[in-house]
Amino acid sequence: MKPNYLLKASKLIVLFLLCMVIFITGCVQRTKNIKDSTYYLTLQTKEIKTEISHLENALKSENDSLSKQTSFYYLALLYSHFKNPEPDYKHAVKNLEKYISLDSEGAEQKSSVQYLMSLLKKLIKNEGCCNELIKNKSRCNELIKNASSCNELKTFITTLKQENKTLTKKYEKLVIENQHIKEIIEKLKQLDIQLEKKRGGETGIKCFEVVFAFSLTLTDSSLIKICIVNVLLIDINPFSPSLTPISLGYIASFLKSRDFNTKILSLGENTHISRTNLCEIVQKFNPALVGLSAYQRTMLYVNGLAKLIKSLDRDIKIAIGGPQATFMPSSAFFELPDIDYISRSSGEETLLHVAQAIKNEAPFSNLLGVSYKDASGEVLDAPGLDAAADLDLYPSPYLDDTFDYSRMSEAIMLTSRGCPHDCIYCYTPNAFKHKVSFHSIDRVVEEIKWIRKNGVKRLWFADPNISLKPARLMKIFDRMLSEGLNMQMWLQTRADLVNPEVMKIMKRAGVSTIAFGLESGSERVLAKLGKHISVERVAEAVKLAQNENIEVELFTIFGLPYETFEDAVKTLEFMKANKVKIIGNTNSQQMQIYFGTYMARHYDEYNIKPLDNNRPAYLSIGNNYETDCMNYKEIQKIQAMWKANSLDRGKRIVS
Amino acid sequence: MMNNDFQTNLKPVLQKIFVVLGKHDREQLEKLSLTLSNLFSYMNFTSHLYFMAENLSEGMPNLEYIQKNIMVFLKENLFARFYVNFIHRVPLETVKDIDYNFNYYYQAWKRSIRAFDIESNEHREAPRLVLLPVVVTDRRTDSKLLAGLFDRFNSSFLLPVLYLNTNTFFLTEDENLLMKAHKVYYGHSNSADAVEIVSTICSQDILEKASPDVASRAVLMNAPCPAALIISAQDGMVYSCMNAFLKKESLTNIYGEHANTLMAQYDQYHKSNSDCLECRKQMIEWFSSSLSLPR
Repeated sequence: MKPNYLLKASKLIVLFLLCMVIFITGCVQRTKNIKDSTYYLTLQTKEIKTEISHLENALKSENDSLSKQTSFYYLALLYSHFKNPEPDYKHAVKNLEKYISLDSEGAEQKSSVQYLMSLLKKLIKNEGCCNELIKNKSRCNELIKNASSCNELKTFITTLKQENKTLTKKYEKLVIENQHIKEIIEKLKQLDIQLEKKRGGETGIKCFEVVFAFSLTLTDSSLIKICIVNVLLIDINPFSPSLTPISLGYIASFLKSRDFNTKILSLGENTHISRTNLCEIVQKFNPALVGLSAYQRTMLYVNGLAKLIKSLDRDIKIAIGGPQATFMPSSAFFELPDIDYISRSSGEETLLHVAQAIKNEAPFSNLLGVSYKDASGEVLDAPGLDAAADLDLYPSPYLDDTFDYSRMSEAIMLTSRGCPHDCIYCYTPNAFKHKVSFHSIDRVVEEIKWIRKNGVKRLWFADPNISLKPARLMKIFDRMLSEGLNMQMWLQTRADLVNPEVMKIMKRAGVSTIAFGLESGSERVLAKLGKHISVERVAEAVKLAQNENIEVELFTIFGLPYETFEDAVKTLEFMKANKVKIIGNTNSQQMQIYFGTYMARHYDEYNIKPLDNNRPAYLSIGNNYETDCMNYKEIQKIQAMWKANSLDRGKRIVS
Repeated sequence: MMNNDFQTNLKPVLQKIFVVLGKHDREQLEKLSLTLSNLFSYMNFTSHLYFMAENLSEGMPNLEYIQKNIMVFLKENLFARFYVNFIHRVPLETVKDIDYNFNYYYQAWKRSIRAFDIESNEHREAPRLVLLPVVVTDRRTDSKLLAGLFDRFNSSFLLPVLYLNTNTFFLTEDENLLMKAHKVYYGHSNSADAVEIVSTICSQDILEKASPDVASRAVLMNAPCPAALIISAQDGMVYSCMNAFLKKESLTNIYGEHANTLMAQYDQYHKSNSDCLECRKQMIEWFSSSLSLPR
């Protein structure tokens, strides 16, 4: 039961009892100034207060004890009246006690009054309980109120969660946008580098701290640290004019595509450059890594450049790569004090690993494809790595404008790499593990179109055997013809990879010169070179080309194993017999025993006698040898004969 | 050939330096040698140095003194190659003269660069220091004796060069002599003084450089002149090109300037005269009208 009902019920009980007392006692008739019980019982709420006041005042002037007693009695009734808006049971009890104390009559009435007294006291007591209950009720209400607040909080939390979910989605979107902005910053950074260069204040590893605010969604700023590694690739050959350094071009394009700022310096006999200028270039560009192309004949110059670069900044790391480096013994490090890395595998992949290690400020960690000399001077060989089987995965140095077309009269192209054959004197098959990888026809044609558009009209295909897949080559030429790409072309291939059909389309497409490898005019010698071709087959190929009015060049070498002086003369006679002009690449040269060739590993089996075994470890036997069939003087003699028959004093272009 | 913006605005690269040796004291020689050695850093990786002396006996000691600094530079800079041309007259009246001159002067000269020959042999490549005796002929020169001297040169890996003027064109009739010569210069008058020889060598150089351009139908005159310095050791005057040398318009004095200052002045001159055609004009005039080539 609720407390207010309890109170009301108590009041009704009191009323009932009062009626009973009044009925039983009938004492209301006893005084003349005091109204009767019925009067008091029928009083209205508003009248009760007035009546109480009247009775209280009457008591003050009343001397009669009976009247006083009656007044006390009625005051007790009025104080506890059920219509009294402010009942005061304590006063009612006090007045009733005074009434009893003045009562001198019968015990029966007295006991009824006593009963009333006890009820009133109970009411007082109940009133306390009620007050307590009321207090509890308010506490309960408060708790209920709190509970509802809790529910509100729960709802609020749910709402927040939903909002959070929405924000997370927005955040993910922002992350993507952030990535996009980073890319834009990267591009801006490249522009900044160019500006820096113009201002002449570059650093090798350039760290930009870019602070920027996302005005769209984020209020706080973000900090991005971007490190740029400059890579300088140098090709030096003071003995021939500077040609398009196609291999360095590929490496540069590949590194650029991986966010390395890469430049190429090609130093040929026609390049005008001084020590002062080279120092200025290095200081301006301030590379963290320098890659030097190494050939047998340029090792001295490579060494000299490395020494100069290190004298400018010991922190610049220097790598050598190219044919001389791939199979150079690691012991060469002891005679190359300024070289840090020797590249053994694909130039693109190897230099990327080195550049990445330098960028990560751990230049001798996680390397692949190189031998290296670490900070303590210890020489280590990292595991090798493979080049991409699909050459199209490497960006084109032509299409990304690595080369400056305004200074290019002839573009050198590589539509394929590697050779599947087994010529004992050649480096290529071993370097490429007898595999050949190709560019797609689309890529080749796209490059030719771009080269032509940039005003270059001559192409030099450096593929070892461009007609290895004759149908592919014919498709390339077909596309060139259908797209009106008129170019003058030089190419080389094996004599057994051409036929009248291939030769005809070559001519139509613009091939002006074709080079074949004859090597020796002696069938006996040629049969021992692992080339698997006959002198007769070469003569047929020469005839095919000449029939199409294509100029022929023949690569030949003297000082071959088992070759006598008479055999060597046969090679010279082949030229005359087949009307091949001895000029340019047709000028013969002594066999070079390079690192990585079958001959370099088995020279003693072929009775090759090196003339100097005290050469630096970075040099192979080269041409410093004689054979059991031809001594040094005879080799010199045949060289002089070739020179005497040469139309250009024996100046070769391709080595 | 590469898109390299860092290769622009570089200092000029000297292709050649001519030094007309004369009568100078030891102090001047030291100063000359020191300034030259500082200029090597401004020279092309492969360059020509020309030392011109009145005669062999007077010129060789001065040349050998200067050559010591050349060797120091080359040993320090393994990427550099220098051709040292020694232009001189040589008394050749008897075979004995050949023996004497060869044994006393040329062999000693060649021996002085032995370290470079060893290096060349080790690397199986052309040496980085190449000596070229440029013999200035006169009416009395005997072609057979000269051929004999050239044989000696060739066997010692000295590259013989023949300097002819209009008075000695008759020597071209000796094909054997021409075969032995690494190069032949054709003077455009009968004189053989320093001005004549320097202008002949300079103009022939311009012609040779221009020939491939002419052959490939490129524009002849738009290429800049090969950067060169002409130094008169006697008075220290430095000339920036053949035309300035002929007009006696000196750039500075080698005895008063450090090489860096000299090159700064040269750079300034080079920039302000980048479109100058005087030397080429002079060359065309000489080769088209004055010179009567041998038939």
